[in-house]
Amino acid sequence: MTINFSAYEIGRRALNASQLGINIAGQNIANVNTPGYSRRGVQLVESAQTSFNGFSIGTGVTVAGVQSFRDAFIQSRIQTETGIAGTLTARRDALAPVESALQGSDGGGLQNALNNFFGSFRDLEANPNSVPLRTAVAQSGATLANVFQTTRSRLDDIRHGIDGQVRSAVDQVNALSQRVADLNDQIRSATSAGGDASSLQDQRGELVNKLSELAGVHATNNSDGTVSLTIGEGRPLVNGDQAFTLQANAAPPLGLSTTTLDGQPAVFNDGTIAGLQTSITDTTTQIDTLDGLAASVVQRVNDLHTSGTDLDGNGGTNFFNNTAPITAANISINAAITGNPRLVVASPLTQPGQSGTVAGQIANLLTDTGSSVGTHTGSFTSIFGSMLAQAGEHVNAAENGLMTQAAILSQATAQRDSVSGVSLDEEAINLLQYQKSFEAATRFIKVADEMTQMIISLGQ
Amino acid sequence: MTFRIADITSSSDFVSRINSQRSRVSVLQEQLSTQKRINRPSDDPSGAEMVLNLRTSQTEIHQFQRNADTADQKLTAADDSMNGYQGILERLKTLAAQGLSDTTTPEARNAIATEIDSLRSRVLSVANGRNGDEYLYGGTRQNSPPFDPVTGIPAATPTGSQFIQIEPGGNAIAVGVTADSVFSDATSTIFADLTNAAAALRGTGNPVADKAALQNFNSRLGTYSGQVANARVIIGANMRSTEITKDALSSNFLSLDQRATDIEGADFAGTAIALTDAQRALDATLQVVAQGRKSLFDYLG
Repeated sequence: MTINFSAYEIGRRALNASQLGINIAGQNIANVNTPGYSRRGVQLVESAQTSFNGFSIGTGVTVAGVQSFRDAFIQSRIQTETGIAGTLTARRDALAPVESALQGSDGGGLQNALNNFFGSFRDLEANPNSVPLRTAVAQSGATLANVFQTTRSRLDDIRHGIDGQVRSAVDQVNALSQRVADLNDQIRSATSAGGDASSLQDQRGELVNKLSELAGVHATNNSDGTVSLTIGEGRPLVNGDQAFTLQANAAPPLGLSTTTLDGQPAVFNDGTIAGLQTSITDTTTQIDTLDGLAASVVQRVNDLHTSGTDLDGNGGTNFFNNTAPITAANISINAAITGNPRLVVASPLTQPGQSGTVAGQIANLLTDTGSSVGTHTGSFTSIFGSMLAQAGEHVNAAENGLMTQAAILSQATAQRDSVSGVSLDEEAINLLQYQKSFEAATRFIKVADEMTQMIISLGQ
Repeated sequence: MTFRIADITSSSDFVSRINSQRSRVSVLQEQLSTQKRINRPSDDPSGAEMVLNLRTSQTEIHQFQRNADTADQKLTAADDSMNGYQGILERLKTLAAQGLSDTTTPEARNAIATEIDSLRSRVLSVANGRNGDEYLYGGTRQNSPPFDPVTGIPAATPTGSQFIQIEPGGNAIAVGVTADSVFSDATSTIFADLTNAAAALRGTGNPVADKAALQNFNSRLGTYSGQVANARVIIGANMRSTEITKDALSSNFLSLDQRATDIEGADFAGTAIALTDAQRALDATLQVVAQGRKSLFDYLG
């Protein structure tokens, strides 16, 4: 037998490999709860063989590198699904208040105000000579105008609240995309120097996920290790180490924001911002319908009211102020009528006196199907009913979509975690395995050393 | 190869499962406490729209019920008043018969004339009688009494019957009688007739003409009685149709209520069972979470 010291080298390499294995297991265990962390694994290969007396024999083990487990395909799927979930969450949260603003409380709300107002004319029809019932008509008219105004101002507050969220989401997107651009730069330098950029990539993956949720970004991996992010139909948000600025500018007349990317109008297909923007559009539609409803109530009530005579036989005045354009924000009862309820009209001109037919006609307006507001036609009740149903439908669709989306997302996340996530069982096994191999390597070195000692002692 | 289960997956799974189970429990609790399946439009948008329309129809019917009550009250008041008027007409007929009798002395005729005068003012107060704010026989003209309270001359402005709509889309019904249909006709008014009769009884110096006037008066009373009887028949018919309409309205109201409740109401037993199930599922999840996920580390010394 030839004495050499290659056994020590084999032992040293084995110890190294085992120690690294234990370190990596420790690293994985430490990051078991870290979001976006991809588990690492030691890549071991057999060291190059040498030839000894014509036999090929090994020289131990070599650490080829540390690998991080990730699946780019699942990762990009998660980003897409996160963007859709972001849209739906934003819509649900933004539109739920619209629904409750329109619904109002029990015994409150616009529908009750409409019922009470037209009902008070029905009472007057039966007692067309009554002054107290005229006072009730004037009061319920003032209440109706007031409910229109408060409902509209609540909707308007909601709309501006959503707009505020758009602005803060835009700020977040800018901060995040800047960090992605910075990480791109660091990852490019690290990989070109041959280093390991796993932890930077994990961090960047998390940031890109957040950007997907906010802005529905689409990510493309480049060969230099950077990712390019685009929004909408492919406008770049991040390109290499450069991040483009998103801006929310107030647009007249309402001061609601329009978004621009690098100075050009920005369109979002998915994500929180897209959800918020469509919510603003939907709320605006509801406000427009509410305005139209108010204008229709004013016009139809006034038409009938001016067609008749009041308690004193004089021709009817406008019941509601007629200052075009009438909206739910400016609807108001004629102050002359609140000041003198005798001016409330119940009788027709052709039949002067106190017949209640005009009051009856006004009361019939509530369910008269001849009204039309925008795309809605029907009675005041059915127009308001379809507004309410539409508001409910928006929230309902977002909620249902979100439930489906949550299932898809959790499935995709589970899939990613099955590749990238840390399993403590596995790490425990790894730990045991490397511990045993470390013990064995130590034992091997000891044996080699004892043999060497014995050979050396022969010469003494 | 089997699917790897990472530790982070199971904990995030638990979090989302507990959240969704808790929200299910709270939805069911809301349904149980409100007894409604639809608590906001998004719970069932089309159902909510139907309920809104049904509830509005109910409100409308409720309004018509109030109108029907008012119509009923007005008709009853008119009928009561005409009952009194009819009594007076009966008394006047007796007096006219006495006045026509040849055995009646001039003193007695004077007494009859005096009674007729007082009855005239009673008829005048019946004719100008009020029901609340309104002249009972004023119809659509309420700014002046039907007859001048002193002279008994009819008001100049024409009048028509008051109509009240008591059912959706239905025709309005007349809720009273106008003065000109029971206290006067094209020929004369009862007040002029009474004045003439009293004068004839007291004697105008022309016994033949007086007798003729009294005979005319007697036949006029017949005319007025006929008018009153007619008017009461119409009022009776309208009262009946009001009653029928009220019944129809209230059964319609109930059926609308039933339909709305069917749509928006929660099935109590079903919801209670679903709530128990949801709570049990949540308990089970919580127990599983509390047990913790064991790993190999738990078994290593």
